[in-house]
Amino acid sequence: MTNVSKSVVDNNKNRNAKIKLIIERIISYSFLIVLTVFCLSFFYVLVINSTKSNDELNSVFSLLPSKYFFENLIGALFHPTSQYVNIFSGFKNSLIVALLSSVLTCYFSSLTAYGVYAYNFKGKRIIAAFILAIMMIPSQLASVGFLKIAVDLRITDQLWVLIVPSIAAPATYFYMHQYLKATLPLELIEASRMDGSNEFMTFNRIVLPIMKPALAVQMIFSFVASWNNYYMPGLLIEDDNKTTLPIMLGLLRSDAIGKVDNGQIWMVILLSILPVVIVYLILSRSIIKGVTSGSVKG
Amino acid sequence: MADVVLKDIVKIYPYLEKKEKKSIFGRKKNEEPKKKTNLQITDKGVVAVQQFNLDIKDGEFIVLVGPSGCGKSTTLRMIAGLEDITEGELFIDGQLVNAVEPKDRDIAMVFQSYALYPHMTVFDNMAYPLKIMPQEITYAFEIECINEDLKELEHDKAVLEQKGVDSAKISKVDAKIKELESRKAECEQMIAKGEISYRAKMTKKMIKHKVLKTAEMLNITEYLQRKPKALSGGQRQRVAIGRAVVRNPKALLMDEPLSNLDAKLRNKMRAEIIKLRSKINTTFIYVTHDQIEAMTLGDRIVVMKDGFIQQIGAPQDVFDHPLNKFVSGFIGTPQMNYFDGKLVKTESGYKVVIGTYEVELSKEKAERLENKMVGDKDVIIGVRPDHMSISKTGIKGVVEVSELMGTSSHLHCKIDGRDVIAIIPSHGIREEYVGRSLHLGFTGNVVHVFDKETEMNLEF
Amino acid sequence: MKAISLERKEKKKKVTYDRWGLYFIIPFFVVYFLFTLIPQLLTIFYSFFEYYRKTVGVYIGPNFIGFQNYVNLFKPIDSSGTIDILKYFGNTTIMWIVGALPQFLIALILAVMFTSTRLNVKGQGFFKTVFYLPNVIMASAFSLLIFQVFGRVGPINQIIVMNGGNTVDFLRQKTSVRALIAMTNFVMWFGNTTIVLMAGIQGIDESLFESARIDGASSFKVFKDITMPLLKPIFIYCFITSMIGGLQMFDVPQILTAGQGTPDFTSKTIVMFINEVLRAKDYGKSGAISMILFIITGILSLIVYKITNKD
Repeated sequence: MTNVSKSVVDNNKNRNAKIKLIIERIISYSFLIVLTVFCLSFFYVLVINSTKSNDELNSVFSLLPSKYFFENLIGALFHPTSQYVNIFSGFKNSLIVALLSSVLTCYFSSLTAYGVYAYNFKGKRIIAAFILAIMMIPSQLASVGFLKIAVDLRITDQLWVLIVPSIAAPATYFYMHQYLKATLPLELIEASRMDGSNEFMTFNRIVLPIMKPALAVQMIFSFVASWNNYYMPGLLIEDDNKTTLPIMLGLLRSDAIGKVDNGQIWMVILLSILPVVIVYLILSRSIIKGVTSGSVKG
Repeated sequence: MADVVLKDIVKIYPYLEKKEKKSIFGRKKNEEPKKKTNLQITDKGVVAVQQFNLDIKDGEFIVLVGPSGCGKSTTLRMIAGLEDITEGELFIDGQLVNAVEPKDRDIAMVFQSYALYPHMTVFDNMAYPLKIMPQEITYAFEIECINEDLKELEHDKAVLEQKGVDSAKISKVDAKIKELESRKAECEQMIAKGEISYRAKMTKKMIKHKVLKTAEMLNITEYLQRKPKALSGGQRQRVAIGRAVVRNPKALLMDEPLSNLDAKLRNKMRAEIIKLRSKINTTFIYVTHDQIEAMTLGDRIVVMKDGFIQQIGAPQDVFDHPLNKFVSGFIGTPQMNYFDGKLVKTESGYKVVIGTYEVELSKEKAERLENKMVGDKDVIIGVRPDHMSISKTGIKGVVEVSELMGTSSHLHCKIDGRDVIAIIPSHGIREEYVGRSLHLGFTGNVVHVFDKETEMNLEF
Repeated sequence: MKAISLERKEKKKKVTYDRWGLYFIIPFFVVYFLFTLIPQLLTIFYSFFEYYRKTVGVYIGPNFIGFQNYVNLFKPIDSSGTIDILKYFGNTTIMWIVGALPQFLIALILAVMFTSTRLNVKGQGFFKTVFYLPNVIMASAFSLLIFQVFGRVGPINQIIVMNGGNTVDFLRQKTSVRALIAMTNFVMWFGNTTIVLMAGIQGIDESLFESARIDGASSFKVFKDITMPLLKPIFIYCFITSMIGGLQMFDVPQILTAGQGTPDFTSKTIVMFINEVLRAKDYGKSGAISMILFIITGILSLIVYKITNKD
């Protein structure tokens, strides 16, 4: 008798707990779905509106795509209605700057991190502490002096001025140094020395390949950062042939009211974010992993 | 093959570096060269190796042995060129190499952690040293390679002929064969002239040939395309050895190569190293803290402590005639037993006295002591456990623990507050020793007499 | 004797690789000194000078004026008595807080949800990908997108009109402009915060949660008594780095308001201020503002450093 009643109570307890969990799950998923819809709505509108004509855009909003996608695309590429829009040169400049910057950042940060990690030269301690300290300095502190020098030397409007500074990237250095500490035993370097390799060759042939995972992560992050960078390029670049995409978008914004074809504006936004979005969607797993490992700096 | 001579080598780690390593990237051990416990500290820094003199002969197998922190690895790393030499001179093959970089010393090293390049296959790991530096190529080796190629080409030719395809291809193959044969003749000429080798970068084919040959010798051919991650400890060990010997180094340095293996595998690899030695012609310098490895592998062993060489000699000599108390205790397991006692000169020779127990020393020992003009004195008397036996007289002790080892029993006795171990053969009879009071004795030819102050063996 | 010791010295050439370490760090430091350190020092230097462009090609200064640039910044420029820098500092702070509060609240909820073994949320990879997506997108493109969506003829207004409302001029009203900027920052950063906090929670020993649960703690109690206290250092670290980032807010308001900080400079941030002054080539004034911003972030960084070094 007692056994039976007890098991009924247990069953009830069990069932209640189950119901509670199900309710909690429903709430959680609803919350997640709402947030997802919120995030994606912007991109949905962006994609939908890039398929509409100027007239459609200025009349009634609809959630359905229209048929002017290619018209807008061709328009944005070849017959832009804004004097500032030149997708080809914007892409070219952005790509040159972002690609070279990220390669330089990764290579020289690794080289510097390796230099500090693997060798014991005089003053190493001070240098390591120094790099950590300068990591904290906000980048725009340099902007006034940088612009002054660039104006004086007449090197504004040149892409290399945006590229070369990326050789000194303290945050990437820090990440690489952490990675080396965790993965590269010094014996490996010694083995390479014994095998007859010189130091530079050891770095290129042994150390860099071992750092591939870290390089991949930092390559993506520095590429995205450079691709999206607006502040310094905005100050340094005035020549229409040298503008990168973010500057172009800024100019388009001040030009946007009224006279520019609306469909083209949507198309330009879409085109400028597309490369990064595609890369992101392919590599999102490792990028998200990289966020946490990179963020524990300081 | 080469002789290696170390002359008055000293290694001092300056303080500056040590501090630096500790304070910045705190947590990591890395370059810190082991615990320096009893090492001498001078105003220049911590002394890791002191007045190291050693003459390693061509093709010899030398083992540096000692407890951790004794400077043996530092010495090896100085020979390798990975650590600079504070004072003294190092000669390899008669040449002073103090300032020569490791890559130009023509030596190879097997690391404790194996240090295999994780991103390369076994083949690439072994090919790496051959790829990056010009190598000594013997004409005989080149002929071997050419012969191999010729065989291949002949096979190709036969296939082509069978197929009956265009003669252009066949004549191309013919031309190649001709070319190779003329090179072969050249090589043969050089050999006839008495030339043995030349220095050049190896061709891809030579590298492949060499790696395959070495891999075969070490039985790792089937793993060549694997990455180190996919290998077991013993296989990695072989690859590490393979990478070291692939370029016929003048000397092969090994830094505790077996310490990462389990006991069973260690025994097996020890035997493999002995076999390896018969297959390759080079000078071996081997570092270990394991005295069994030292005893079984070395032609000569160098016992070190606190940066000083304690004794150099053939393993059996060191075992039989330890120079001081430290060596006597370090070599041989279980450790030697020590007693406080007296050395007394008698009419016929010497005797040692422990309490009431007296043992006349053998003639041989007495003669040596005589030569040294040793008189009566308080001494430390050392006797190995294997040399202790149960006797009627002897030193009295109570057995606390008895370890049955099969063919013998290890009896742990307390005598005058010291632990004394005696190994007693069981002769097939099982006896219960624990709790029994026994008299342990020994004979006069197995006694080692050490000075009480200097702890030096009085025979030397 | 002398000859011997000389010989000795020559022989002392050692095998040492340490100089290679120096060679390897040279490029980094050369570039750092040329392109960062010297400009930074120049910024500080000019902040003590009167040095600006009067008309095209005509510069006043540089004349040393001590702290005058700094003093001027805190003087009201007109009869209304508003002090520009304080106003812009206030704008920046308000917009950061309005964005950061929901950002941290939602990120915390999401992080707890994703790490809960009880809820065992499926499809985490998908959700994380979606939430982090806005972070990789060009801030300028995202701002222009927001401008388009909330513009006079944008989709939002079209929906309002369709439902019988009147067109709302989102970009001309103080509250809505600030809200839009805050929202954009929120959308761009909550995913990033979620991921960092999640890593923080995952770093906590799993057995602590299990033992608390066995001891009878409810989900909320576990969160309050275990998760939060142990997450605190990372949470504060995140919060302050977000604050530092917030102070440097530029791209979003700059593009959304075409650099104007409309309406009436109520959405103008400090960095927009620097940018404007710098475009006018007033090196003294922009230097002084940069220095003030640097000092504030310096103090905040110091706090971060103290916190991260505590655990």
